[in-house]
Amino acid sequence: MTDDIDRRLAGLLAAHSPEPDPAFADRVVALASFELTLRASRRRTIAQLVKEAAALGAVLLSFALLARTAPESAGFGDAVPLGSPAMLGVAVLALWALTGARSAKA
Amino acid sequence: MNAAGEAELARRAAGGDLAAFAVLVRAHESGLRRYTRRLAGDDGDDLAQETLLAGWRALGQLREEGAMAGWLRTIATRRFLDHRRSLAGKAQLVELDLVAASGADNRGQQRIAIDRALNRLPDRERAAALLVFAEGHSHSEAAEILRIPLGTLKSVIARARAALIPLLEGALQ
Repeated sequence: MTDDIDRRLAGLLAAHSPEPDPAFADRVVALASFELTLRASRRRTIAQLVKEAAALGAVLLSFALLARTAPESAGFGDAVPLGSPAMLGVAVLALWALTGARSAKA
Repeated sequence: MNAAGEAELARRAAGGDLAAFAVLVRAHESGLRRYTRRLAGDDGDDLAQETLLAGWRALGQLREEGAMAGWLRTIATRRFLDHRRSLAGKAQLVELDLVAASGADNRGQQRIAIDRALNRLPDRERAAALLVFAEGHSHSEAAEILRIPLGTLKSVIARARAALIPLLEGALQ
């Protein structure tokens, strides 16, 4: 009895699918495309942020290292030894400038 | 489209191939909109759109070949019920588009009566009735889609059946 009612209900509730709607499908695909673009843009922004944070870290480290050089031992106008913390700071700064220049090109 | 072809398209679409996704959308949009329009009334096409995009984002999780139609109905049903639950306490009447079906012939009138009968069912009973009676899912499939135990699903279906029989009495005779 229940099976019979269910069959009749199924027959009544069955509905034809609406006509295919190419505009609807195109809209969904366009939204997906937009989302992909947005995701790529977000990834690029995050990567850039990480690079810039690293560069900022390098600058801060450079200044910290430079601050450790004793002015009285180096003296104004004296040559700075190659192995000194100051030279290391300069090297880090140069690396940062190089990375920044390459990012700007990309 | 066969199951293997659909699985291959799904794999490509999950990898960002929009052309493959477009083929899947064209293959499923009509059947999905039929279901969502009856489930959510005037919001049916919006629900179908959200469902297809949510499905696209989660395509990597689709493991079973040939299961996409049922999977999309699962997403649509859960999104619909979650949304309706979030509106608890607010006006929740589903607006069915009866104007398009308001032709004076008997079939048009019958369609209106059926849609009205569905509209009067609570959301979960309407979803269960559509899944089992209109979409041909088994009770266990419908229970899984609705995330309820099988026994509860059977009770929901029994209530939906009891509510639909008197409302559709004229059509059933």
